[in-house]
Amino acid sequence: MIETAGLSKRFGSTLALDGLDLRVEPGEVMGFLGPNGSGKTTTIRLLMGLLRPSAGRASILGRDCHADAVALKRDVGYLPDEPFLYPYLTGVETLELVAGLHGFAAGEARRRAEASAEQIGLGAAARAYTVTYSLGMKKRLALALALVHEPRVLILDEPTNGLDPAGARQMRTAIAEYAAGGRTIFLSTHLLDAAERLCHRVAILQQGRLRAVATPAELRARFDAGPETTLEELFLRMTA
Amino acid sequence: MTPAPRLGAARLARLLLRARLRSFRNGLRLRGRVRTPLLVATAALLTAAAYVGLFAQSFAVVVATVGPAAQAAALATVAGLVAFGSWAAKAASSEALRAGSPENEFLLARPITLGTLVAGRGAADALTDPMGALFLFPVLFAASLVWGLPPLAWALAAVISVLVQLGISMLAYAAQVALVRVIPAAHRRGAWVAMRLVSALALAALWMVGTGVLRDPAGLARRWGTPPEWLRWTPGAFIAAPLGAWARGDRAGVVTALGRLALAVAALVALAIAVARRAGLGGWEEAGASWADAAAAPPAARPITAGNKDLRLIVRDRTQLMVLIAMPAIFVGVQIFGAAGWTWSTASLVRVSCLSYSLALYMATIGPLTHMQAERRAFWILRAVPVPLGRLLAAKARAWAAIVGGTAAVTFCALVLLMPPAPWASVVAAGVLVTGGAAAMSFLAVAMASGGADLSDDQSPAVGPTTIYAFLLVGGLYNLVLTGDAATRAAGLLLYLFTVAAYWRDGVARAEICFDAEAMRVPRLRLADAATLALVAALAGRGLATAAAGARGQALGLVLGMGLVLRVGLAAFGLHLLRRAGPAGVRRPPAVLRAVAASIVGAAAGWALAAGAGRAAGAPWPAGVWLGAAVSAAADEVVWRGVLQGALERVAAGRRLGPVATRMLPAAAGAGLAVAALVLGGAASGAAIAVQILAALAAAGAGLPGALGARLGFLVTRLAVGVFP
Repeated sequence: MIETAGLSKRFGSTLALDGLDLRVEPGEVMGFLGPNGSGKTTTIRLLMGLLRPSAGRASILGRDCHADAVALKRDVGYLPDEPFLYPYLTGVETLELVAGLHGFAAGEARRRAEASAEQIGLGAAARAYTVTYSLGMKKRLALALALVHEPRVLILDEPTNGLDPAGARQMRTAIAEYAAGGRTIFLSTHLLDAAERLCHRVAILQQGRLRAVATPAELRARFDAGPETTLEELFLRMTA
Repeated sequence: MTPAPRLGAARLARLLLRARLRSFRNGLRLRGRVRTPLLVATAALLTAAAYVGLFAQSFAVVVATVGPAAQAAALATVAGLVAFGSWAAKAASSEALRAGSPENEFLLARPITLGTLVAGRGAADALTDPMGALFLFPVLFAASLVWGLPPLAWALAAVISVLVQLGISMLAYAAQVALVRVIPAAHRRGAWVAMRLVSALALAALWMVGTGVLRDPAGLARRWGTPPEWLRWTPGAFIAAPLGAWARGDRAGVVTALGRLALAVAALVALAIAVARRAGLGGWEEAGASWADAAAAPPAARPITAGNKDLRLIVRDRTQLMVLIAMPAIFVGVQIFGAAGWTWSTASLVRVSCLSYSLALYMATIGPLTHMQAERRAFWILRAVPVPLGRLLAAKARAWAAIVGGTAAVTFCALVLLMPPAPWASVVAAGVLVTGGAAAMSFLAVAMASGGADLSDDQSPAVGPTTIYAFLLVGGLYNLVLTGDAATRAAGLLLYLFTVAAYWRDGVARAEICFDAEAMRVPRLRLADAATLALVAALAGRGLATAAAGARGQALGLVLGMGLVLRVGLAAFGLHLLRRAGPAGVRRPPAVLRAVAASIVGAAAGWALAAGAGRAAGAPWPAGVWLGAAVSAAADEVVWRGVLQGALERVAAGRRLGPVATRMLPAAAGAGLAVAALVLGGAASGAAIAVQILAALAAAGAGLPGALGARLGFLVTRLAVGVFP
């Protein structure tokens, strides 16, 4: 479903990602963990075809992420870390625009926009300008934008970053509901308890290199840790 | 799920166009944000209309002077220059150059190719960017009016304008994308700066040609008396050809020329798409990545302080550095020397002073006035340290004053060497005034930007156009200090320094609350607003006095009428400020009682002063003049006593001075400034100064009603004894 082989990205003299080999199975929720600056966002941008790999390759649904980026995005939804929104469009108008960008005709784009706004629980805010949105609402709208074309794969870059506990829980619930539909999710996050609850497996990245790919239980076994050891403790041990 | 059809450039352009128009409409609707877009739209329409009028006037001279071929050549020259200026300005914008800009990333996350993105955005830009249409369409429209073409030709002018904008957008994108691919990442910023300089030079050239065309249209026409062959192959000729053919009555020529233009535009669209596709294969989409802008680590330097922080950032940010130096040089240097000529510009000490100061003024507009924009999200650092904000801002202003004042001094010294000899004392005095004024501009800029900054909303600019225009207005008025006689200079300097001090005080106070939108919305009478109103009133008085001095009969009546309207307008604005500020909080007897009591005092003073003066010669003045004088006096009182003295009293009240000092110090300061205004207007007679002092004292004791009463009582008595000047 998602596959990278020797994927590397160099920015000038800095090697941001160093030979990433990773495979995410269909229907799997993969947690993508790592300290700040470890290369998570770079990986995600490479997967989205927004950056060109320096070496190696990445593919989603069998399509090359760079060479076939346009066709790929029909089946992939993307929530960036800091989503851009047009300040003076309403939530529904933004959804309608993005549905249009995915090639849906005006009527269908409108229908999808309304449905997505309702699905994500924007409520009355769907008719408000995004400039008036709180960060939580902006993130929820951005998630709706990622879902408006019903993608088979969802790539989320720190979706709960900056959200308050209630907002973070709402976001987690929305992701869990989506994952329950059997979709593949690639989730970059710093919230390790959420990753433990949501993800089938986690991949841990440090200084651009993959340190581990395993289920939380496998990680505990690898470090001879008991079931009471949290993923956070394992993560800190691994990246210390 | 049924796969959606592939999104083409036309569809993307349509979607972007709709989103932008909606966004604009919504921006207008959003409460509290209606004013600025409406003002911008109105100003744009008025500007376009003015361009139509101006160019029509000049083109009519061209048409009356030369034959059809030379007329078309003149139109092609102007249209070509406008198109080149538009292209340069668009190519120099950073939006497409930084492919990783938020909007581009937003769009590239959808199933859209880079070529489609460039074509779609370019097409949407062509229709939604008003700048191109603002300049080119008026030129074409004016030409069709002068040639007496039917309304269908106006539509043709609009079609040509849109086609040209599309071509310009595409060529600008192609240039940007190609430039990014050719220039290595480390030098991209330099390349971008170079593009901006080309753009500024193109606009300066446009300005020079524009003023040349308006000044001497016949000269331009004669120059193209026999148009050279190469002119036919310039973009301007392509643009002007359809209307030129229509003017000749060549209908087939119109179709051919329009088709040729459309083909050229189609070629540019294809070129932009091809360049984007080619560049996309090479990773152009990474051009906006932060690493692309990264420079080598700076060498060790002295400890950074609030004072040198801005300077260090500028030195490291070469884009800003180049803009700071090059823009003023281009706009002031090229435009003034280019339009007015070197000999004219360096002909006298006054012109050299004004030029040096103007250069510094532009520099201050680009530098310290935009510091709050640069601070933006980092401003909390200054707000969180245990140092008074006033001290931090003063350090910032001092650092900028060194640059701006230094530039003014260097320019002045260089130009003085090139001008005809002048007395050394005058040169030194002028140099001190230029340098001091430029340095003070830095303080004014820091103060105004701090006072106008709104950091509560990330979407709007920290420093809006109103602040920039207010800065240019106040700064521009310093020219009076540079050009006047000794008395005028002293009076102007007093008013100017007071204005700078008032802005400084209010700017520091406002910077304390710039993150708090609610606190900033609380209406209050700001000393800076009062100072600006007083300054404008003083200069309006001077302008009217100058106009009245050379006027006789009906012309004099017209000047006096204009003066009355202007004073009433300023007073109305003053009343608006007073109403917004609310009551001063001082308990006083009823306004009518205060006014009547003060009018008796005023009448007594008027009678006492009139006793020593002779009666006015000639016939008694008509009642309308007396009424006008009364209204004018009342309007003056609103400005000088109501607003200015009122604002000073509010400041004094905050200083916890004694009750007498709280009233008398503002009265003294207000009267002093009002007398300075009289000096500027050449009306500083003994009686005029006495009435200012009387009104200031009346305002201190009995508020604005008292000042109005005293002033009117004084005036009526003077009228009664017939010594009104």
